[in-house]
Amino acid sequence: MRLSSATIYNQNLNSMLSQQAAYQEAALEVSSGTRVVNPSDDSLAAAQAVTVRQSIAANEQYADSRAAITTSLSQEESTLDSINDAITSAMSLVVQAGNGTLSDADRESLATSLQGVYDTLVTLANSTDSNGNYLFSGYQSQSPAFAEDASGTLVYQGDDNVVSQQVSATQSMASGDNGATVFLSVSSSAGFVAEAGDNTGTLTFDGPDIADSSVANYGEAFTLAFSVADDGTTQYSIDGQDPVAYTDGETLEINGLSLTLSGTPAAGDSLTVSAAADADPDVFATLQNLISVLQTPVEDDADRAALSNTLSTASRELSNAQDNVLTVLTSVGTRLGQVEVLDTIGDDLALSYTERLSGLVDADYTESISRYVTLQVSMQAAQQTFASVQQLSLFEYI
Amino acid sequence: MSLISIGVSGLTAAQIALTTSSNNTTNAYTDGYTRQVANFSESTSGNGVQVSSVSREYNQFVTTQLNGSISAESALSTQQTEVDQIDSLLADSDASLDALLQNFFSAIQTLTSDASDTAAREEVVGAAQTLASQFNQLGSYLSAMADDVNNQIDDQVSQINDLSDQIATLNSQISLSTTLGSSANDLLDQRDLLVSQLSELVAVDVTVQDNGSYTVALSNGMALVSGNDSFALSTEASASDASQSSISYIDAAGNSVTLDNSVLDSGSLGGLIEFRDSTLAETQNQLGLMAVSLTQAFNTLQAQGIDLNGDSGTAMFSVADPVVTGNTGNSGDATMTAIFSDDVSALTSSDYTVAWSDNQGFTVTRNDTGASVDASYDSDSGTLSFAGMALTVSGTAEDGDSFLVQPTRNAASSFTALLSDGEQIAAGTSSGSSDNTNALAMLNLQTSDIVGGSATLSETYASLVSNVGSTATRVAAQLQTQSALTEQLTTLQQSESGVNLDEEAANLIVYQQYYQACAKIVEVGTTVLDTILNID
Repeated sequence: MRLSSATIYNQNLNSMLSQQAAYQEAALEVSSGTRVVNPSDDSLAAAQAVTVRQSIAANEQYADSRAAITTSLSQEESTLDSINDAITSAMSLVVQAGNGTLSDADRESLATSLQGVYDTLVTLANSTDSNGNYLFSGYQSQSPAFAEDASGTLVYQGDDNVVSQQVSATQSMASGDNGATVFLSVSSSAGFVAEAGDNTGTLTFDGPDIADSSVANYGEAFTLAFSVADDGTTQYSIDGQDPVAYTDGETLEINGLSLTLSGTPAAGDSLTVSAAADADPDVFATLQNLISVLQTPVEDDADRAALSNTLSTASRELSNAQDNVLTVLTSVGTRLGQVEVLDTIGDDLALSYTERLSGLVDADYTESISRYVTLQVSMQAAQQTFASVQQLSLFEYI
Repeated sequence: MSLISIGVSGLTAAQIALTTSSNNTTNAYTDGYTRQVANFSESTSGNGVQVSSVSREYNQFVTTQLNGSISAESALSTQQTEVDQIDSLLADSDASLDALLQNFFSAIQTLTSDASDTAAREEVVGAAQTLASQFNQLGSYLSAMADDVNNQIDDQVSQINDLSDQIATLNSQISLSTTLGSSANDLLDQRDLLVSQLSELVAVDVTVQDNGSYTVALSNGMALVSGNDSFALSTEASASDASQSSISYIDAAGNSVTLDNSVLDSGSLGGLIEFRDSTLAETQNQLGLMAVSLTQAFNTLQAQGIDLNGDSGTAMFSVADPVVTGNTGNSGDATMTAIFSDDVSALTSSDYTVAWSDNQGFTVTRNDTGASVDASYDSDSGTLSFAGMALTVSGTAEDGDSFLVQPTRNAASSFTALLSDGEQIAAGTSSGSSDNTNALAMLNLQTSDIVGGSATLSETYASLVSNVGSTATRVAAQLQTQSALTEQLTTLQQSESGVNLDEEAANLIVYQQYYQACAKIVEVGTTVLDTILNID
């Protein structure tokens, strides 16, 4: 075929220019290490990269959440440890207070020690994190968990909520526990407590213990109300039923619970038995009661009975409170363990996402460098061809 | 016939041949030049030679094919230039939209860790503003491109008119010079060059009339040039959408006929229209859809929540309402205003056409698929609801009236972050300052199908990237094929009409020798004459 000079020139020039463009692109790929920058470089890979980057970002967010949760749970854990220690020392003080040989002054000094424990617990309950947020206030983290009301009673000011965060794509986790759960609850395994009323007699109790959990109304709360019959015998009625004669030292079995009573109740005395959870558990109230009883001088048998009953009830309530704190502590430990597992999974995911992204958009150096070299050679060839073809002309010879 | 006059006829012929060859040589690289050849024939007066004509080596068939290929290539290369801009716009970087979306959600995640932390709240506000400004930047860039494309369309239409004029003028000059019997080779070259330039702008069919004049027509047969007359195209605001240019043909009687886009499917004009109505509009709409979905989802959650001051949350983002444009040909006086519903899960990135007919009432169709869309019309309130929008109709529509609804076209450029203060973020649903339940719900939007009820924000962006990328790849591949075809046809056309310098050098040598030979004849003739004259 006949070729025009313009065609020869244009074809050689165009081939040199397109070689140059391809060479430049290959050089850019080698120097940047990236294969896909513009969507048109590989539209499928570019679109998938968007999705993978989103997964990487979400994974990083979950990791951040877990780091934050680990910090707050660790702080809660150490706080709960201290609370547990405080309750333990309160319990040992209660045991000491049960020693019958103590004088009023001895008990006064125990009361002072207990007041110290109480103050420690209040301080712990109102712990704050590094941002000044109260640990145990639920969503109300700007106000202290417990504060005294006008009458001097310590009242929970937080709410029943717990801040939770997304720790993985599918799981959200509480980053703490509120004050109601820690201080105003008992664990589900807690038993029963008996509490004497504002008694004037010398009635003391032992128990309650579980006697028969198979009876129909097992575990229902009941109240014993004591009275003195017209004939002078002491009697009691259960939840307002017909009175029954009272015998010193007898063991009653009501609603599957057994309770041993001794001493002489006065008319109007009462004794309430209920499940610990229903008895408005409040470790602070328990301690406040204790302190006020220990500060009261023991002058007669009735005082002695009141002291004994309060110590007995408080001992159970403190034990329940401790169990509860330990339960919360276990749950914190479990959550910390879970976070650790999730961290491992998250790290694995991050690695595989990064590899995936790299596979999608990064240059394969072996491939891109060899292409770069090949293109370099062919561009040189194109340049040489252009130069030599342009020299070929018949005009050179005339 | 004397030897001398025979020799002289050869000298004349050689001179013409040398002139032709020199002309070819000097024009070897001139655009539109067609190689000329001096045709020799025996002298009609008996002995000697004469140059019967200097002809153009021209092939109408190949040229027509080449012009067609040039049109197609020009359409593709125009598209490529434009699509590449969007392609670069969506290139991966730290400031790309998906990275900023991730930053925004990451800020919300930090907020969920401690909802009472005012620093974390400010972080969210900042990230929202950065995100909004990136949406705006992309949106305004695309709007600017749309304006630019419409300007280019105006420019090209006036270039087309200019070229048509020139071709008509050349038609008349060529027929005049043909009548006078003189050679019009240079005029023919010029006219073919103009047709080729016109083909770059728009696909045209050329018919050669008996008198040699060209009739140049659009693909629907409407003539741009007929004999000595040319007919103009004009641009005006489209009847359905005043922001777009549409092209009309003005016939001899001065009537204006709006051209269908399919008439202009080739040439750079066709490329511009194709880009404007497909890739550009789709990209604008899809970005807008993301902005609208983000706005509605966050504002709904904000309204459900309580901010740090204990007040109900206020809107976090805002976008422009859908744009409704009545067709300029509407005979009724109905106007419509549209707002987005709270639930935009039925919204798509398509534009919609609302039409009124006396029989059927309002009907709604999607512009991208042409499918009809379920719409409910509440005649009491005059509200037409469809696809996540509520249109309030005022006035009365007449039979045949239509309205163009562009829900998301301007959403990206109008997307605004409204909160200026971190305390305004409704992170909770109660008054507790650490209540993060609503913030968790916001974080959850990252992985929820909030766009069109079927895709996450990130998935939508990915499909946008994929659409633009594959369009750019497809256009580049088509352009490559078309360029190869154009090159082949050019080579073919040049093999006949192009100048080969070696050939011309050979011709120069040959005709120089020929000239010498003819001169020799004259010399011999003179010598012969002298011999006779010198007999003494």
